[in-house]
Parts: sequence; C-alpha cells; structure tokens
Amino acid sequence: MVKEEIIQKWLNGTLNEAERLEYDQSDAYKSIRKLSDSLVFFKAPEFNIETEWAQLKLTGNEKGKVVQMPIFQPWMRAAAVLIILFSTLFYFYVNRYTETATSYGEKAELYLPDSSKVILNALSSIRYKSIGWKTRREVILDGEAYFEVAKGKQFSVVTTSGTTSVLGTKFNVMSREGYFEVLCFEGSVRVDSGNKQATLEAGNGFRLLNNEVTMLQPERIISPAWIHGQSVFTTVPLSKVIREFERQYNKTISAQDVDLERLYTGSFVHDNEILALQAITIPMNLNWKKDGEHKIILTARSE
Amino acid sequence: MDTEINDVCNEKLFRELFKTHARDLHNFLYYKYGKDNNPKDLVQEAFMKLWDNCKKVLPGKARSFLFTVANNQMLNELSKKKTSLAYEKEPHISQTSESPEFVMRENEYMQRLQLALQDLTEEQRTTFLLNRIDGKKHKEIAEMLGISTKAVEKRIYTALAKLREKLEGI
Repeated sequence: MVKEEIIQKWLNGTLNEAERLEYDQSDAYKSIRKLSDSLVFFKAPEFNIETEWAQLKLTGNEKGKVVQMPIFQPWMRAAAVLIILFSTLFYFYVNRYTETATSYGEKAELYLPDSSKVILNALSSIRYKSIGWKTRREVILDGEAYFEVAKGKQFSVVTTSGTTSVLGTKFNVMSREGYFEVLCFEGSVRVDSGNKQATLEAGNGFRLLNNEVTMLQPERIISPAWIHGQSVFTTVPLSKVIREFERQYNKTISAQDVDLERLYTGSFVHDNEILALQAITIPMNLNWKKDGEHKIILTARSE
Repeated sequence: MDTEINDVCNEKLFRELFKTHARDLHNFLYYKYGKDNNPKDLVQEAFMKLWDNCKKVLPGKARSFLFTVANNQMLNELSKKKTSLAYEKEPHISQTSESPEFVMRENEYMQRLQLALQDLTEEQRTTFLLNRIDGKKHKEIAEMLGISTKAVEKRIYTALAKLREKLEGI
C-alpha cells in the first residue's frame, strides 16, 4: 500500500520524479486511474452561456434597462447631430439672401426669380430671398433702383425710409440719407413711409425730404433718366445733387461758402466729368477746381 | 459615464460577470445538489438577485455574492431532493466487441461509483468533482467556496479515500 503522502502529493500535483515513479508502480495507481477515467462521465451537463443569458429575465429592472438603451444608441446620437446640422443648414439656406451691390459710378442690371427687372444705380445694394419668392416678393433696397415688375402677387421694395408696394408696374425708388423718392412710370404703386401713405398713378412721384412730403408730377417720361446715363433733378437741394455726382464719379466734393440748401433743377451726364461739373456749377453760379485725384472744391463765383 | 462602468448595474459589466461565473456556478450547484434540483434555474435566480442588488454589490464581490445566494436559495427550498448525479449512458468503451461479461462489470462499476459519489458529503463531493472533472485549481475552489486551500486539499483527499474504499472494498 502506497503512502498516503504520495497520493496527497499526486492530488496536489507536487510529485517529483522519484515519487511519480513510485506512484505509477503502486497498486493504488490502477484503481485511481480507473476512477478518474470514469468520473468524466459524471461531468455536469453542458451549460451554454449564450442560451442561458438569453433566458435570463432581469425582472423589476427591465424598465430601466429598456429606457436606457435607445437613449445611448450610438446611431441615434449620430442621427441627432445630423438632424441639427441639416436643420441649421436648411434654416440658413431658406433664409439666405441674394445680394447685388454697385460701387461708385457703377450700374447693374439684374433679374429677380419671376423675371422682374431691376437696374441698380451707383453705390446701391439690393437683396432678396429667392426661396419662397412666389409667395413673398420682397426686396430690400439701399440706394436707388428702377423696377419693372412682372405681374403677380404684391411686390414690395423695403427701404429704411419706407416701403413701396405694387402688383406689377414700372417705378423708381431712391432712398439716400434722408431723401426718399418714388417715381411711378406705369400702373400704380403704394408708398408707406412712417405715418405717410400715398398711392401714385403713372407719371406721379412721391418725395420725402426733411420729413416733408412733396407730390411730384415730372415730365411724361417712360423711365428714369439715370438708367440712360443721366441724372435729372427737379427742385432738389444742391447737397443731394452733389452727393449724386460723388456717387457717379467717385469724387469727394467740398464746398466753401456755398449755400447747399439752394434748389437745383437740371441734369448731368454720367460719362463726362467736366461736362457734368459744368452742368451743376454754371446754373448755380459756382466755380470748381480740382484738388488732387479725387477731390473737387466748389466756391461761390465772385462777380 | 466612465465611473458607471465599475457598477454591476452597467449591463456590459453584468454580462461579463455572467460569462465569467455562470458556468462555474452551475457546475458547483450541480455537483453539490445534483440534477434534480434544477441548477440552471438556480443560476438564473442568483443572477436576478445580483441584478436587483447591483447598486450594493461591488464587481469584485459579485462572485462570492452569487455563490452565497445560490447556496442559500437551495437551503431554503423545503422540497430538497436527494442529490443524484447522472452519468452518460454511452458505453464506457465504444467497441461492442467487448464480452457481455465485461460490459456488465463496467455498468456495475458505474452504478457503484454513482452511489459512492452520492454518499459523499456535499462539501467533499463539490470540491472533489470541481477539481477532478472541471480541472479547477485548489486556489480557485478555495475562492469559490470561501475556504482555505488547505481545506480544499483535505476535502479532495478525504473524498478520494472514501470513494476508493467503497469501490474496492467490495
């Protein structure tokens, strides 16, 4: 009979070579070997982790489990980011303005989405939303522009001085530094400027200067002179005429001892600076001289 | 978020715990209480308990929690059946060329072994079978059952001695 110690060491796996030999040759070896071989058949039945996990019902906490999952689904986070991104882009897309602007001495001709025609005078800008144009025909104007509006729903020209609304006609809007003027060439237009309203028929004009409204009846012309390269004035303060000259020729005019409130009636061309200066100064009895590349000085003409 | 990874309530971690411990727990229960006491159900119940108490149990303590809970649940069951281990019915040696006498002797041996295993104490049987069949190291078993490795060694040796006595004595 082999020593208990050897069997114990065998069980613990701490037999050395000599002990192992002794154990293998012992009478215990055979019976233990048979026992060990037979034990395999008593192994616990297969326990499938996946199957058992699937069957595991975490009662009571199931609600918390279910609620938590969708919130933290990665694809949902991505979706949320995309929705916000596209909403923002869509917002800016819908609300974006199409803008056209002119510089000194420039004119620009453009067509709105409904083929309405706009001609921009010098140093002016116009902007509008092309998305939803059919339901809301509105342009924002800074400066002066002539419109030939296609027939359709109400068409509005918004300026800081007032809004001009039409259904389809030809008209000119000028909004410059406290000077607001609307001339109607065809059809009729409605002008709203603060608490002052007016409806203009073809050939009529509306002028707001220093908070005073003047109704104009210019000569029967079919379009404003400026679109044909000429600025025409009827009893307009000299200061406004000078500003228009500056815009058309990119010059700065300074006046010495000149009454800028005197009214001017006349016109000047846009393509000949000397001629234009003469057209302004001679009727007003003024002298002019150049002071460098971009400056012109006006003085009262002494007798 | 990152701090919650260490919480048993975190489902990922809970699943890991299930993967790591479910089979050990199942085999432990099987060897201890036998096939008639539904070890699979007990595993499910133990993990449900762990989930219910996930806030109170640290991940490191999950295993001892599971083994304790499963054991207590078993003890609570009044209709505890006598431990019975089934052995696979396939012939010991697959060749049928063996003499009928040999086959009969083999079957008899298996039946005796089965009875001998049943007559071991729960502690002896569980420890012995986890070691000899599942190949669990003494240290692992000690951790599972919350006893010393010395006690594990002693149980295994005693179990072997008892089995040999029953099998060879006749």
